Amino acid sequence: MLAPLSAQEVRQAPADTVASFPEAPAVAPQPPAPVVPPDFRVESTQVKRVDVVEAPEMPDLPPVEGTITLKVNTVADPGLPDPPPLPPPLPPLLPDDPQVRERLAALAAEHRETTVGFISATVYDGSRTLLHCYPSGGLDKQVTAWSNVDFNHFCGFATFEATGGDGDVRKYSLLMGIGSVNTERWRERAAEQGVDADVPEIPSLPDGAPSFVIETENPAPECVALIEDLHALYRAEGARMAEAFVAREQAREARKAYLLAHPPKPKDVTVNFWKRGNPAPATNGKEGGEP
Amino acid sequence: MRMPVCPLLPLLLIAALSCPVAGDPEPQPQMEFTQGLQGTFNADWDGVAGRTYFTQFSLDLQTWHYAPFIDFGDGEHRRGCRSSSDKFFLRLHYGDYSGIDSLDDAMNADFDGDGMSNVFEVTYGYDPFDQESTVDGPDASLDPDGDGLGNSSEQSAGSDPMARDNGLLELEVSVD
Repeated sequence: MLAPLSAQEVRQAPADTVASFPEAPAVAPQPPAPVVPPDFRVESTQVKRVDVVEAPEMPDLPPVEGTITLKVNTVADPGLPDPPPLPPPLPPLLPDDPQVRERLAALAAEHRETTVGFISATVYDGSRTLLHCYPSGGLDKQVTAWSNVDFNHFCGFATFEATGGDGDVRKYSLLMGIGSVNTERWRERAAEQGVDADVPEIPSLPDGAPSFVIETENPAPECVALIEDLHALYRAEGARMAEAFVAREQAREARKAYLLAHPPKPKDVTVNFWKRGNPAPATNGKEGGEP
Repeated sequence: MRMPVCPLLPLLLIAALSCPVAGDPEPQPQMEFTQGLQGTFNADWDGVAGRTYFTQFSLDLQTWHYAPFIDFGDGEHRRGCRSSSDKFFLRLHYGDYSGIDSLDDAMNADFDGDGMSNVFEVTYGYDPFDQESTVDGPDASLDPDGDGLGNSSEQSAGSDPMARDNGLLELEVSVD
């Protein structure tokens, strides 16, 4: 239901606010090298048949269940060296040390605080989103707002930054809980159960440019800035975000269809145990490495 | 010269109250489960004198299996393991059992009283604290290799309960 616009003011992010995602690292991280297990010499083996039930890869799929063969081997010590010890802790920094104070001052000058945006977003009918925002988790600063942006499109994006018209840079890290509501189905379910559907009154918002109305009276300025910057980000990157969301949904549906057509079975498991010998004795540093 | 008893009594009481109660178990240092090399993991713990250690593992934190070995006593215990599963958990099942003074004692004892030694049970995948580890019946009478000899008989004969070809013959004698 679209309620008539009352005293609430439809707002947009300031035109001179520029928001963007952080640049991807120039060099992609290298995948870890494949692990080559030791060449075990099996001394004895115990074999069991074990019923297992594993959680499915994604919701709405049956659990992965079946009977596996669990092979438990006792093997000879492969003689692997112990991992190198952790490096010793760094020496303490003394607050009165002039060099420490100088470095701290330099860091403070360069430091830009990151606001953690705790956001609960409920998307109604894929077109309007009810937002509860808590900048840096401050419950006393909660702001409730309605947006004409489908916040499902924010899935998968964790950080962004915005630059205001005054050059002020605001960095954000997002912790979002996003859900979707189909009001038609909600009403049908409520009617089936003979209760009233407590569908919230959705304020009238224009389609098109990312817009919002804030329902909270006297909202904290940092909350307003967060909501404005979210909408500035969507204004700049919304098309790509929506495209990425659609692509992810298509990939998810394709994967789900594949898993339904090819139900995975739990894999057999082999466990090896051995008694490790004592670590190599330390040498006394004499030539020839005599103990 | 006789010492007066009464002045000492409060001190004795305080000493008695501050001493550990006889039989209190010594705290067990936690097992350290750390990553080793080549996809292996190391399980290290400091043992307590007189204590028997069973190592259990799980793939799902619900069903726990006994590892096929027993450790005993003080000193540093160093085990290595590697599992092909994505999830793998270890824990210690330990206790201070009366009459158990060595690793041999711990291995040969029969904690669940089903007629099979602890080491036999953990070696062949049974629970040394449960006479019926599986839904198939008492551990002692199970015959996993189907050679007609139950586990208890296999242990007495020193044969492998998982292998039929162990040199033993089951003789069926009928008398008219």
